[in-house]
Order: sequence, then C-alpha cells, then structure tokens
Amino acid sequence: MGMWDCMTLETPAVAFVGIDKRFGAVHANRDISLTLAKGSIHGLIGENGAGKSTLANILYGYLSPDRGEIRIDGQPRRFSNPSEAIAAGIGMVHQHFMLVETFTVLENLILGDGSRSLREAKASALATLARLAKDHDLGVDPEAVVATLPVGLRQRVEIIKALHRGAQILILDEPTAVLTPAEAEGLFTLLRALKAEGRTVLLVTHKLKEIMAITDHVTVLRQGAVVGTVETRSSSPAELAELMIGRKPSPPRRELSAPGGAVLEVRNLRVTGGDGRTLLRDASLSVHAGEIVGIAGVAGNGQSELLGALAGLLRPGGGKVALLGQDITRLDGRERRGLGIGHIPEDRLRDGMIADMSATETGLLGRQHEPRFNRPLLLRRGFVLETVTGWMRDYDIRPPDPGRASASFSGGNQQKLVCAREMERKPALLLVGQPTRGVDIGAIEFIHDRLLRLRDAGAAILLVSVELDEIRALSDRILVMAGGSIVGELSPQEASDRTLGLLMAGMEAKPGTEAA
Amino acid sequence: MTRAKLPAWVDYGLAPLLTLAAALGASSLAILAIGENPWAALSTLAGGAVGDTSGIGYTLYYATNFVFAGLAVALPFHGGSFNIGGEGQAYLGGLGAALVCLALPAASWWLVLPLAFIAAFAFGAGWAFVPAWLKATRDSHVVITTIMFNLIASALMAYLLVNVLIAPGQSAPETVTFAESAWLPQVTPLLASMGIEIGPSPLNLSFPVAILASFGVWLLLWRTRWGYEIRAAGLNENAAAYGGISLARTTILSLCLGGGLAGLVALNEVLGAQHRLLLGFPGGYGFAGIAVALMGRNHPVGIFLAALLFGALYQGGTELSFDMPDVTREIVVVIEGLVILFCGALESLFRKRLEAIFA
Amino acid sequence: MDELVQFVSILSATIRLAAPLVLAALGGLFAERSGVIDIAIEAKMLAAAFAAASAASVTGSPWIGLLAGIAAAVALALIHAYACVSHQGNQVVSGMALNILAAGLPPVLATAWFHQSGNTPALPSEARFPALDLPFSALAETWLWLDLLWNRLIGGHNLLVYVAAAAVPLAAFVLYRTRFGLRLRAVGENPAAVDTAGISVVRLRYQALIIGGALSGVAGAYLSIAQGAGFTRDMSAGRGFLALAALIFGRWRPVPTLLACLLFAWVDAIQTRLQGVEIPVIGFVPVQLVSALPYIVTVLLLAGWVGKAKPPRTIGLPYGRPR
Repeated sequence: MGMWDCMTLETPAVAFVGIDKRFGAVHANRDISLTLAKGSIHGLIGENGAGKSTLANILYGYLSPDRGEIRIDGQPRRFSNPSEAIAAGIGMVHQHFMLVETFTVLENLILGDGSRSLREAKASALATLARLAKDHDLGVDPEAVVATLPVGLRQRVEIIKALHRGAQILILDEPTAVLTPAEAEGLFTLLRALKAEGRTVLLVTHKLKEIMAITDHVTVLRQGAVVGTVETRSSSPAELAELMIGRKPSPPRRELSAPGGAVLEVRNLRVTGGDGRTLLRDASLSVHAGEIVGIAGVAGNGQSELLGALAGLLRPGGGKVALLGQDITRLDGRERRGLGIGHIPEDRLRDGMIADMSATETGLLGRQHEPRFNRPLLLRRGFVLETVTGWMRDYDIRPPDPGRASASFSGGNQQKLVCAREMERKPALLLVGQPTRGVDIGAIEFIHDRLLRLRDAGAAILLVSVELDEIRALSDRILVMAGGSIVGELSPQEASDRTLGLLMAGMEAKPGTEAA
Repeated sequence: MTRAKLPAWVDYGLAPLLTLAAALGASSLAILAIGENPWAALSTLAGGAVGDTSGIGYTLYYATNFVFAGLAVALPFHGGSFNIGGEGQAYLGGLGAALVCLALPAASWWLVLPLAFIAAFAFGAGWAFVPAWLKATRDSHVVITTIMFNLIASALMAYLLVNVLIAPGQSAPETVTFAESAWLPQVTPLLASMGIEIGPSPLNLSFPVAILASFGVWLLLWRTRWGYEIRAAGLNENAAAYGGISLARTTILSLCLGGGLAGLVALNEVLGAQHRLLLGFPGGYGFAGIAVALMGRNHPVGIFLAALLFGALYQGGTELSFDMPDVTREIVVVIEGLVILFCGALESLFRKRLEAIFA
Repeated sequence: MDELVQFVSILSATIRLAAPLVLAALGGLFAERSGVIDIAIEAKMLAAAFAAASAASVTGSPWIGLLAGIAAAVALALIHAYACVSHQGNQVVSGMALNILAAGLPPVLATAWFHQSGNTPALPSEARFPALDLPFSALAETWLWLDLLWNRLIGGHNLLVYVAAAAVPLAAFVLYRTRFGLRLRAVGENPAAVDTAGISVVRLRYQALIIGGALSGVAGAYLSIAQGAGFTRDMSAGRGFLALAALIFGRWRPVPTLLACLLFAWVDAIQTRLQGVEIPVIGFVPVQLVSALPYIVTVLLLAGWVGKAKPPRTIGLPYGRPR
C-alpha cells in the first residue's frame, strides 16, 4: 500500500488494484497496482507487448480483468462495458481511431448519445464543438466527412468525442504515432490545458521523449508487470529505458558507408489512387550500393505508395524505375524479385506472412518460384524446411520450430523470420518498411545490426520508417516525404527533430529533391 | 484469429462426429415433428446403408458422387472462393460426357471412355470459368454468380434435353441409351466374373477414380508450387500479391479445377449408372458437396470419410422412405443443412469446448 | 389501344413481381447494413412461404398465415444470428446451411402433414390476400385511361403490394432519420467504434437480422398466400438471390434497391410474354432459355458493367473483443 500514498494524500482519481489479465497463453497484465493522482498527467510506458494497451482498455471497460479491482475517486467500480466507464467519466482515444469514416464529424459525435432525440443530440454536440473551438482552439467542421480529414484532425475528433461525453479521466493510447512533431507539441499543449481544468490524463506510449516532456508521474511496465512508478522530474530517460528493457540498451553501431554505383534510380514516379487523388507525386531518388537511404515522414504521406510502386505491387501512373541500369518500370512484382529486389513490407501480418501457415510455408512466400526450392513438378519440401530451420538458428528465432503456425510467434520473431527470408536472398536492393514496428528491443537491435551488415556487404537499402530515431541511426542519407512528395534531403547530422519536423509538416519545402 | 492446435484424432475424428451427432439430434426433432419414432427411423436408415452387400454397394456408389462434389467445393475453398456451383457444373459435365458418347456410338471403350472423361471435366471446368473469370477480373460475388449459373444450367439443359437431345419417339426428356462400349464397368458383374457374388448395385469403376482424384487434389494442394500459391492466396490475398502470386490466376485455376471435379460426377451417374443423360440428373449432389467439404474440413481424407457417411445417409434415406412413407428422402437434405450449420457455421461452439479439454 | 393495354398489363405485372423482391431486398438491406451477409434470404422466403401456406390452409386466415410466415423467417434469422453474431461463425456458410435446410424441410413436413409430395393444399380465396379495389374504381372504369391507371396500375393489387410500396420510404426513414438507423449504418462500417461508444454490437445486429427476417417473411408469405394459392416445392425459384443481387446493385440504399427490383421484375414480366413470341433477327427463343433471363441479367449486373458498388466496410467480418 505504501507506494500509492507517497504520491499524494488526496484520493486518487483512479486506482488499479491487483489487475490480472490473460489472453490464452499470454499473461498480458500481472497483478498490476498503480494510482493516478487527480489533475495530473500520468505516463504508462513499456515496450511493445508490455501490456499497456490491455491495462488502458480495462480501465475503459472494453476488456474485463480476470482479477483485481478499479477504484474511481476511491469507489470500487466494475465496468463490463465502455458505456459504464463513459458514465463514470472516463474517455479514451484509441491507437486505431474508433471513427466511422463514412460519417460526418457530427454523426460520429452523437453516435453514443442515448438520452435524447437525434435533434437534441445534434444541438448539444454542436454546442460542445463551439465551446471547445473557443476554449482550446479545437476547431473542426461538423459537416466534414471523416474519411476526408487528415489524420491529425481525426485524432482531434476523437478527443472532442471523449470530452463531449464528459470525460474527466482521459486515456490516450500512443497518440503521437500519427502526428508530426509540431502536431504532437500542439497535443501536449492541449493536455496541459485539460490538466489545468482538473482532468486526469493517462498517456500510454513507448516514447521516452514524450514521457519526459509532459508527464508528472510515470509507471513502467515490463512483460505485463509494473517494474516501477516514479516522479518524472526526478527520473531520467536512461533510468526509464533501463527499467523498460531490464538492461542497458546497447549503443547503436555507426560506421561510415562506402557507397558504390547506383543500384536503384527513380525518375518522376507517380501513383494515383482509386479516387483519382495523386498519392505519390513525381518522386525522384537513387540508392547506391552499400548505402541506406532513409525516408522520413508521418505515416500516410506517400511512403507506402513509393514502396509499393518500387516493389511492383502498385502500377505507377507515370515515371521510370531502373534497377542496375535496367528499366523495370513495366515489370510486375515477381519479375522484380527475380532481378534481385527484396522487400520487408510495412505490415508483416497483412503482407509479409501468412498467419495460418507454418513458419516454413511463410518462409517460402515470394520465393516459391526459385528453382532451388522446386523439382519439375513438386516442391522440394525437405530443402525448404532445412533452409528455414537454418534461418531460425542464424536469426535466433524462437521457438525454433518451423512447423509452428506463423501467427503464434511473437512480433519480434515474426519480423525476424520475414527479415531472414528477404535478406538471405542476397538482394541487390532491399526495400524496408517500418522494420521494427511492434517489435521488442532485443529484436530491434538485432534487425538494425543485420541491416547495417547487409549494407556493408554492398546491398542498396531503402528504409521507410516513422520512427525518426531509427531513420537517424541507420541512414546514410535522409529524404523527407510530405503530401506525397519528396520535400527535402538531409544528412543524418543535419536531421534534428526540428528540421525534420518542419519538412514533414510540409513547411519550408525545398523544391530540389535530389539532383540527377 | 489463431486457433489452438488440437490432436489430429480430435480435429479430424471426434469434432466431425460430434457435429454429426448434433445434426442427427436436430433432425430427430424434425422426425418427431412428423410423428415418427426418430430412433426407429435412424436405425432403418443405418440398416439400409450397410445392412447387406447391395446396400454397401449403393452407399459407395453415392459416396463416389459426394467425393467429386466435395472436392469441387474444397479445392476452390482453399483458393478463397466458395463454389456453390457444383450442381450446374456437374450438369454440364454430364452434357460433355453424353455428347462424346452420342457422337461416337461405334467407337471402342478405350477411345470413348477417356474422351468422355476429358469432356466431362472440361465442360464442368468451362461452366465454372465464367463465374471464376468474373470474380478474378470484376470482383463479382462468386456465391451468387455460381448459384445463377446453376439456374442457367438447368434452363439450358432443360432446353437441350427437351428440344435437341431427346431420344426420337420418346416423351421423357432424356437421350438414347449409349452404346455399351461407353458404359463404365460396374462392380457387381466384375466381381461375379471373378467368382465373388455380391448384391446388385450401380457401383462402378468411377469409385477408384474418385479415390485417385482425392489423392491428386492432396498432391496438388500440399506438394506443388501451384497448390501453395492457391492456399496462400486463399488465406491472405495481400500477402499473396506481395509474394508475386497472381490472384486472378489462382482464383480461376482453383475454381475451374473445382468445376472439372464436379463435372466428374457425370462419370459415375451418366457413364457408370444411367448410361444416358436424364433431366435433372445431378439431383442435389452439388449442394451436398458443400456439406461434405465442410465436414471433411476441406481435406481430401476428411472429404472421403464424409462422403462415405453421406453415401450411407442417402442410401439409408431411400430405404427409410420405403419403410416410412411419411418420411421423404428430403430428410437427408435437412440433415445436410444441419451438418453444414454445425460443422461450418457453429464450428466454434464445439471447438471452444474441445480446446478447453484437449489443447 | 391494344398496345396500351398490353403495356399497362406488363407494368402491372412488374409491380406484382417486384413486391416480394422489394420486401426481401429491404430485409437484406437491414442485415447487410449491420455488417452481416444475408445470403439466406432465399431460405427465409421459402420457409415463410411454406409456413404461411400451411397456417393459412389449416386456419383459413391469411393473417395467421402471414404471422406464421414471419415467425418462420425470423426463426431462421435467429439461427443465423446465433451462429454468426453470438458465435462469430462464417456468415456465408451459415447462410448456405439455412438455404439447404429450407430447401429440405418443407417437402418433408408437407408430405407428413398434408400427404402431398412437397406441396400444401390449394388455398381457397378467403385464405389468401385478395386483390383490392380502390375507392371510386367504378367511376374510373368509365374512361379507359383512368381505368388503366387507377384500377390496373395503382389499384387491383393485393394488400402486401402496398405494404412493399410503403416499406421503401419507411426503411429509408429508419435508416437515415432515426438513432437506430444511425447506429445500424455505423455498425456495418466500424463495429469497434460502436462498441467503444458504449453501444452493444450484438444487440444491434440481432435487431437488424430480426427486422430482415420479418421482411423476408412477408416476402415469402406473398409468394404462397397472395400471389400464389399454396406452397409448391422450390417456389421461391432463386428470388432470394435476385433480391440480394438487387440489393448489391442498389448499393445498399433503399431507393436504388427498389429500382433494381423493378428492373428484375420487369425482365421477369416480359419473359413470360417473350415465350412463344417470334423476335426479329433472333427468331423463336425457346421457353426454357427465356426463363433464364433474370439469372443472366443478375450475372451481368454483378459483373459491375453497370457500375461498381462499395459494400459496408466490415461486412462479413465477425466482431468480437479480444479475449
């Protein structure tokens, strides 16, 4: 009990007492106890899979704990549904927005409104919108269809939704993942203002910088358990990082690259969406042998389309792509793979693997045509198995059981399997999208090391990531994308958060992308 | 959604049997509603199916149809398409086989039978091609288009049998009986020539063909690159596209192969048993294939076992309708629907409990 | 003048043939807007047609028949809901199971109850919904144009035709002007958004499926106790699937769906007149092939040559919180 009293003598806004939750074999929350002081911003930090979102969803009544209790203002509460949590003054902004995209902002706001007629519900939502626009500069057009709004505005709608429902306790799950640094700063200003109004904020994140910038207290989770709750002011990023991963993080290895000849050359590549919008606008770039070129930018600014068009998965609307001097613009994905392009996709579960197949069969994906894996009619299954077993050993994929369903591996091990498959082709060009999304720190370090090794072996690597630290740590050159265009090029040394942030926000766009 | 791994005997043995028991239990209610004794009905059914060699022969004869019809659903299912068109594909398969037999009345068996086999497969595959092509290129809803093609097939065949192919001087809409060289040998006379006497049944050499087809489907799906691509596309379209697999190709390939397998129902029915083309000869086998495939978990071994079971149900159902005039053969269709419901849609109802016990 | 009479009689037949399609398609619209694929419209129509004919035959009341039809269709809808919403089963498979079940059960029961192979006894006219005469029909008869318009086109149909006509604006109102409609449209697009707003996804989908079942039930009853006079084997003849196709072609919206149903019904109405008629260039088209016309039109429409539809975003995907 002692731990809670040290923070404040006032009744805490929220107290978790001995929360325990399992999903099948996964023990997501282990006997978690912590309190949120009223009128404070409390950080919840931990690696991917540490159990942060589970805990937040339990507070919101979306998940029910197997054991344990939640107290709101000292009163024990049992939420079996979000409606009960909402009634108790809890609001949540989910990592994946809970918006109906075909609806207008107003329709989204009144969706949960049960007490009045539709007309009254609309009037009350409009009143909230006007108040929040005045008090907090949270303006948004009530008649705008959500699908047409940029991501930053959608998040604003989510926050307005929670406040409209009367949230005194606001949970935000990884809110900055979709924001530019400037937008994140704006969000923090808002959170401070809400705190000043007496509201309590629970900020779930895996980014130390945010914790240091805005929270009053921080609780660190590791493998589902609380490993410490500290006052942010009296702590340091190094201390928190060590708490998070249970050891000191190894410093990134950085040696200069020795780029060779151009491997990939792209001229004025254009991709148009199904609705006629230009998603990628006249992108020109080149990647040389032995070089990592990083693409920085907020998600959804054309990076996915660039990767897709280079991998041969999207048909470009114009422009030219050449690999080692050969024009490959007209070739499809399979033909490009044959010429030596490897591809670690942005979303491994969606694109990179087949969850219901075994690791062995996922290991064959995209390589099923290779003569080494085929006899005239039948697949060489023994050899495929042997190869994947070898990868599991070399890439330390656990458990080393190639017969196991791909889905049953942890995120880090799934990603290592995809990396092994694409890197062991010895590609001339490796396209890499978000290589460490949803991956634990051990695997992050491993994958970074492998990417650098592959670069040193002479491969050309194009790296797309929304994690600026990752871009800076790995890239030899950095290109910034905003609004579907490449808006600037920087060296890693020049790439401060501020410079990158301005470019990513589409301001101060340098017109000259990369000289031909 | 990942599922816990169950022991194979539970997954392929106990679980289907439980669902079958549930389906039989529910159909007992229907029999009760009719005012008959379900226990008596079910034992009549079982006796009719395996009570004597003739019954067993009929059971295997029906099972042959179900193997083909079940594979016709399962193969496209692995490729991500739900083929409801087995009925029409089988019908067209019959047309293909009949056209060969009618065109070559004097040819000897080694010419007619292989050609009829190829024609049955090709016509079935061809009838599946249009829905497959529409799905691959226009993203049409394959369930509805294959159902429409069943309806179009029966209209087309009705026209052909009534106006074109009808035996001269006949009033029943059916073709002339084929020359004997086009008959697939039946088992009863075959065994009799070896001195083994069994009761009469239309069981014929398409039964071993069905076994071979099952093996072929297994080999294709789990041992070849094409099968790998079909399964990959069926499980995750995005990943398949990422892996250089053409979705259009796997869709068309799997649906057309499925249609061809459905066409082979004609082998058993037209070449093996009827020796002429009759109006409405597929008689619901195509739809039964859905139940067979789902119960057999879309695996050739499972399908073979489920087909035996449905063969027994059909044969037993026929006996039942003789013994209890108030119970029509459609009771088997009811059981079929219930099996699909319990095996296919309410699978998790049983699985969750089994996983709690065994996994 | 003959041609005018002929024309009006085709239009009038179109309306009569469209009514069950409209009812069934609107039923499917509620189910599919909630995110549940409704491939079992056919099953619900067939079961309702049988139940309605049986009940009307036994009681002599079309109203009891109608209620029995609705009850049968709702019962099937509840099975579908139990499998797909409560147990997150595969919606297409569940629908096909019901289709096959509903094809098998009526003949079994008809044989046992009425000792007629697959049919119910022919209904006397008082056990059916009769054609209604509108007020002033006698007055209108005096002038041919008015007679055609008032007594043949607008009037002269049975009650359920008017129910179908009223159902379209009513469905549109519910869908676009009520809180239930707002939630219904939301749950098909993003059930998680509805769930986190504190609204029960399961309850909404059950409600949608029950409404869908009731409407399909009226459509089925229409076949056997309004249009027909008793149940015959497979009497829905694919109309449930045509309704589904009309719904898709109508982009899951009430008014376009109505227009698609009218198109199908018109094709159906002219096909009965095309039989045995010599058409220039083509010549005689055999009866059997003409009867396949609605199915061919369905395939063509679904191929999207007339426009591509965007379904509710999460249709077919079972929803459940992680456990």
